[in-house]
Amino acid sequence: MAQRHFLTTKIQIPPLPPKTVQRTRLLESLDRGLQPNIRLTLLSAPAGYGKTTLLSAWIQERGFPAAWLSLDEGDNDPVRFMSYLLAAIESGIPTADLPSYLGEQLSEDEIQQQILIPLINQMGQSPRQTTLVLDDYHWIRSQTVHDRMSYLLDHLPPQAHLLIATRADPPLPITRLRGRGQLNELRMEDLRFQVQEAEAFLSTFSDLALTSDDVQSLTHRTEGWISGLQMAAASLQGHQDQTAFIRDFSGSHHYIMDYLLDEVLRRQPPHIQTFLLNTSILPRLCGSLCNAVMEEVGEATEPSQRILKNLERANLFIVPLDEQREWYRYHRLFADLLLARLRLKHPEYITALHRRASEWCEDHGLMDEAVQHAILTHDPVFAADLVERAAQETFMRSETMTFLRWVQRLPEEEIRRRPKLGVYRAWSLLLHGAPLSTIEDQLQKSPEETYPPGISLTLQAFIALSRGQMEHGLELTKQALKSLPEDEIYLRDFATFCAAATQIAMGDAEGGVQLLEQTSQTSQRSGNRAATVMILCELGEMRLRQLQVKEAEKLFRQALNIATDQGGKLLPIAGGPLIGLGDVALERYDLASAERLLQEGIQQAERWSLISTLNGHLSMAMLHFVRGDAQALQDSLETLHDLAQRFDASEFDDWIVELFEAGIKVRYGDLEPVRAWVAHRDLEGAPERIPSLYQQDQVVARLYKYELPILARLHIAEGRCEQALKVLMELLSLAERANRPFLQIEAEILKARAFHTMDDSTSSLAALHRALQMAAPVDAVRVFLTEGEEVIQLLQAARSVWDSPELIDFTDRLLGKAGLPISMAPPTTQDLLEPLSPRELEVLHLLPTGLTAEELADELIISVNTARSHLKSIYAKLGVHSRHEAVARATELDLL
Amino acid sequence: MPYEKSRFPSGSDQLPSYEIRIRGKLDGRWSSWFNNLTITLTHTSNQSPITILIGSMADQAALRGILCKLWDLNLKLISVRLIEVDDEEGR
Repeated sequence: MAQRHFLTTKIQIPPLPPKTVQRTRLLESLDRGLQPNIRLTLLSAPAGYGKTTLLSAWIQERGFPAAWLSLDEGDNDPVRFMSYLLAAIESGIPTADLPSYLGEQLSEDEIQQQILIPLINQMGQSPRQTTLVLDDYHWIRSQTVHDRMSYLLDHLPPQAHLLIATRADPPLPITRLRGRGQLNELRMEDLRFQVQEAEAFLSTFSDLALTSDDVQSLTHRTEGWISGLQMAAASLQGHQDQTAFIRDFSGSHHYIMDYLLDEVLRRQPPHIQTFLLNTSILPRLCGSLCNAVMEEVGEATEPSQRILKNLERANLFIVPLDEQREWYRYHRLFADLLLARLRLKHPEYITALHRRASEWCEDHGLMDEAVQHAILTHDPVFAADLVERAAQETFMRSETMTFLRWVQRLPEEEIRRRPKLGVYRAWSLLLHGAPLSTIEDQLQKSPEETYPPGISLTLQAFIALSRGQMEHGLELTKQALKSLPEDEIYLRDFATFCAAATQIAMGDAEGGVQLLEQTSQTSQRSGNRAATVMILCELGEMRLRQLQVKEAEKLFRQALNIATDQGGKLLPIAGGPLIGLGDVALERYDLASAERLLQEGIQQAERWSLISTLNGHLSMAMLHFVRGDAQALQDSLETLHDLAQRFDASEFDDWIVELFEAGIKVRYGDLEPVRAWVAHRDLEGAPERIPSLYQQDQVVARLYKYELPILARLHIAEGRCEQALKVLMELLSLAERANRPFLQIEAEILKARAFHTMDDSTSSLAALHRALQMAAPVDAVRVFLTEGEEVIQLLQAARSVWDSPELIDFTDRLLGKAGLPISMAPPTTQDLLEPLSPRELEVLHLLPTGLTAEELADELIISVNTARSHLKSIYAKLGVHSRHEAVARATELDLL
Repeated sequence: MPYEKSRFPSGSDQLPSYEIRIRGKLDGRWSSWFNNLTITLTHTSNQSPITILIGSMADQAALRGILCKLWDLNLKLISVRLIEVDDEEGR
């Protein structure tokens, strides 16, 4: 489900052009790279020396399987790079049984342990040779990516070969490899055409009758640069006096390409010249787009699609992008030259060309490209019109970061003239953590009277609600809904969502839920994915708070489905359901899944709204706590403080972070900061004295019940157990009224601890019994396991007392989970040559359940193929052939 | 954060200027291609032509961008020099 959308063209070996020059000497040079002592073959030369073609021809000629990855700017994202690298190897080397990687953020250490080392081992075990080609490596600037490649390079087994093609030498340990004779190098000197090759090239690509003197001067003048020669051949086509042309060309000191472009263009009929110049503004071309762009410029004497095909046939620097010959692009150098020429000859055309390109892209749903073209028109009105039209749709897809990127390229005056655009911008700024003063500033700059009714009201309502001004905020949402036009779907749904969430916060859960359920149906009908997902997540979180874990999981999964677009790509709003599912896993104490889900969730949520990552980071901090990873916990706490501070629309988030930190500190026995927090929150003397803050504000008072357990823990730690019990009695009654069963369980557990400290074992057992009775039916394990060693001892001691088999079972489950490694260290007890990876262990633990591969995949939120490959790998490592045998063997090895 | 809007300091007079020399003849019409650098021609002692691009750069990244463009067009670089303000004032 969470599979990334892959651009398969990146990992395909580029098809050879129908005609190529046989370069035997270079193929043999490449063969040298297969010697066992050679670690790297480096092809380093500028654009247009035939690096890609040579590699592609070599692979085809030698006929062995090879993995290919064409890099681009986006691969500086280490996550993306790693995903593509594995995909390339998987598709290029069919027998490879690879570590799976779902794009989670792993530390460099984990990347090494979980991915690079298994990958290297896999290549080392393979009886066949493995060839991996990285093309266009010059795009990579990320040191992380370089480091991973260096690591790979240092550990490659002799049967694996790495080839890198690049325009500039990469910062890899080249000198060291060269010194040790481990480098096979092909540089510009090697790659440039020699006279015979140029001759073969010119006779293959043209029907020119050239003397060997002609060829020699062309080769000399172009210095064997293939792009230059190709251009020269195109210029020579149909030239009356070829020898004269070559003489002039050879004598000219002009830049080769510049000189030749003039010649090439002169050879073309006028309508093709016009076509080439005018379509040079397009990064990608197809017939219909070219038609739209060419309209008015030249009379359509020939349909664009046919022109494109003819250009391809004439070798005029055009590259097909798909098998169907629908999309093309110009050779970049050629497009650059054409565009420079267009700017010189007809600068006045450029605006109109971009405008028509933008309109076509908008009509065809290519919004990002439409906006890029619109901005290049340098017509702010036109660009702003487009962004304004696209605002709602973009928000409904939750792509607020993309929207912000667009709107920030528009001039400020233009945004100020458009209140609607201003509000959407303010909104996305708010979501991404801009200071409130900036936002209010921006809102005030727009002339008030021009506001479309209700639009700014919705934002104001949201701000008021964030600040905890519930009545005022609710009133604003009502006004907004009254005046918002029907077609403002996004804002209407959002206003309703705010109203419902507020209702719930103010204690009317039933009414709020009803409103949410209604709205989720209308928003789903109108395609408002962002609102639907937000609502389902809100409902899911409510279920989770009520310990209805299964129901919560169902809602989050439904939401995740809606947050996945047709192509299988996750929308940013998917962060919500992923974090929710992470919480579900955490509740079940399935720490590995929880970590994976939370990480991916936070990553997605960052693209939708910075503040929405707060929940994810809270859960992540809890995860680090239960694992005993103090450093990671400290980092998470810092992130949380940073986030809460940045989101200054509300203090609520600051309180939640403080509350969370106090809860952690008290568990660590670090009491001084907890006492300070108690004083700060005015909790001294509770519950007899209700803190003044809570008498005034019922919404803020919601926090009270979460503060009481911390207060009780503090009292227990200080030995003031009587006072702790008073606090817990109050907590029990509050939790019951608010329907928060986990708080009730927590209160009973703490009571058991308090009584135990007071040596009242009968009351302690009774409290523990009540806690287990509430927890067992809903399988609430986390609340016990985060309470510390003392509770585990109480559970162990009490186990023999219980009479019901359910309670004994549940207690055993708890004790079993408590025995899980609490540290980050991977399990080392396995008696296997090659230990199972953490992911494989997860799959292994599900084997006895008898789930099908599809159900396994669903359970772990991975693709079916990935699940199958894990199974295969588990069987191989255990040396078994069936699931039954695997379970038996794993039990033998104490893995189950 | 993405909401910071200032990109370049305005007023190009404080920006550093660079002189880039390349082998061969490049037409003045390429100027707009190279961020409006001034293009002039000269030649070496043995009469091979040299093109000189001169102009201010917003920062090192802008300079790097120009050098990459030259590289991608397969032009041969001879030298890159920072022009000190003092040079121009002839102190």
